[in-house]
Amino acid sequence: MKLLIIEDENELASNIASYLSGENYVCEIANCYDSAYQKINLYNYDCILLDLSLPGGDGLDLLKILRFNKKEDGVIVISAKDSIEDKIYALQYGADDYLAKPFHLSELAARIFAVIRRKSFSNSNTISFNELHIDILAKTVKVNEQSISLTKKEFQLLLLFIGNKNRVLSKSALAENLSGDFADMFDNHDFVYAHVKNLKKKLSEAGSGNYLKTIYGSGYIWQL
Amino acid sequence: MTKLLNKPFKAFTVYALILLACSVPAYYYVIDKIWIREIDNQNEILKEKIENGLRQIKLNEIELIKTLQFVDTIHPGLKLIPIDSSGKRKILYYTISRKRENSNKIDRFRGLSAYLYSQKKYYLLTVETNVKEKKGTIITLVNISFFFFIFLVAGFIIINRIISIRIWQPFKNNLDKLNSFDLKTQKELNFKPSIILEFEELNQTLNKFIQKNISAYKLQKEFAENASHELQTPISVIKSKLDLLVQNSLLNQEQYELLTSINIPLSKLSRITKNLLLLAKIENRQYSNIETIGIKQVINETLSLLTDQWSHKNLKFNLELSYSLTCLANKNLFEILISNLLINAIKYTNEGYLLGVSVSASRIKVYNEGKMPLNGDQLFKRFASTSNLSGSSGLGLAIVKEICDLYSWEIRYEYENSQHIFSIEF
Repeated sequence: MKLLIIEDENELASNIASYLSGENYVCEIANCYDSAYQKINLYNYDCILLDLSLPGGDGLDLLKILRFNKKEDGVIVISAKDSIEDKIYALQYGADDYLAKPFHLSELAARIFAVIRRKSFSNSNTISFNELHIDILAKTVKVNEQSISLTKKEFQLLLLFIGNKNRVLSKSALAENLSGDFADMFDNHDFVYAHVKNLKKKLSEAGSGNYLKTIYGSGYIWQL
Repeated sequence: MTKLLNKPFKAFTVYALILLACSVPAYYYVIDKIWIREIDNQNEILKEKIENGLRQIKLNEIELIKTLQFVDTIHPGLKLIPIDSSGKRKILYYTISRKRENSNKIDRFRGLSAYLYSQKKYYLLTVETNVKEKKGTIITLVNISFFFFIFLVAGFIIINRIISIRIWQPFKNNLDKLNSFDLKTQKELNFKPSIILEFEELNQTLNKFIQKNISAYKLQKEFAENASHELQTPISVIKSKLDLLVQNSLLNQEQYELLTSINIPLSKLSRITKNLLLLAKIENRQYSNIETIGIKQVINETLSLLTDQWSHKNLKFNLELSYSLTCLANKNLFEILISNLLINAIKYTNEGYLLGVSVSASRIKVYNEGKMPLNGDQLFKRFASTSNLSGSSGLGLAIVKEICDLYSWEIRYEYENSQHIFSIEF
């Protein structure tokens, strides 16, 4: 999978690249408007991470050019602007998702995962992980062909874990994934325990392997 | 406070009074002079007529004396007395005051005495004409002056009115416009061009002043936005580095917890900058799309979004949401308003305690049990919260207040029966 990170803050871009490199992602970085412009015209990417305020131009223009040229690359806007208008605007111009800074890398990884799935498997959007089969569109999960019923939040968490295999996820990353904008208004993120506990229980009761492990007492990791 | 126009008006009035008062002796002096000269002239003419008459008529001495006595009786001011010899001076003018008979009144006379010579006889002619007495003249002049003074003052008042209405109109217009000026709208004022130099200067100065203010305000607004955005990027870098760091397999649990605990103040930092930006945007009236909002629905949606936050606290909910109240506002802002109020209530209610939300005909009320009343004066000020909960940005209620102010809703805090009550009157 080829990713393009268009971000003028080099530190952030390289952190994203380094976090994602474990998966079969190949990341390229463009740190200004011109180099991003050249890259999107020359190559195709599975997913483009697009910062809006760039030296040399507006990130939204890149998005417009991309869509004008009928390119179907997945685009996730990563911007410090988090107003509803900015989000609607970006989505109207053909962005697939919008993530406001600051974000957890795990959240970004889950979004990238979802966008790529949506783009490349538009009809049968099913993820398989050993005996686990997840239908993203229908929001159903099967273990060994047996359906299990998950709440909306448990399903959301499962996708977060699948999108961040072999990565340690902190409690606050999980809380942010679950509560979105409200997460940073509370200092108590203990509610994530209950959701993780229920998810684990449902998976293991259905006969799934113990992929979700607790690490360091309050962190989680999804691994074989 | 006196009106600007009344200041010169007072001075003018005093000046007019002094001037008119001074004019009385001056007029008196001049009028008296003219009068006396006129009477002297007339007396001279009379003298000449008598002189001519004496030359022409021929009367014997007895007839003449009789005639003179007759003239003296019917015209006491005129005396013609035969004398033996002429005096040194031919004509003498004089002024004399005499007491009137049977009365205390004093009359003033202007007299002329002359020696006439006719048909070898000398006569002494005295002609006296009544001159208006001094006192009378002065009283008349004072009366006239006072009369004019009254007219002058009345004129001043009327002219003053007209001037203040007509000439000061542009000034008043400017003042009204300045009063209605709202920096937040960033609209320049269009002053009517004036043909009066001072007003035109005032207009230009005001325009310059307003433009400077607006541009300073814009700068400040852009600064708030830019500062907020610029701050999010370094926070993102720190956050991503923390995420990378916890992937390191050499960490022990203590180190992991230290690292992940940084996320909480980091989130708070991010929230503060977002909230400052939000406040700046509300102040800048950047939320203009207004729609009719069902308050009950927003409350229900917000409560359901916050389920994770209240469900583990065993709160006793008391929801009275049967009344379907609506309001006109920006949906986004209204959701922020409701969520800020509810988040506060959820955060500060202890486990197992009561939390209530009620919607009535014109107000919503969010209340929760608490042990101590909060400082009502400080509550809605920025960063004035006394809370030591680390999730609090210190701006939540300031934002609530700002939104209420924007739509002229009244927000109140009360503490009754161990309950914190926040109510918004629409």
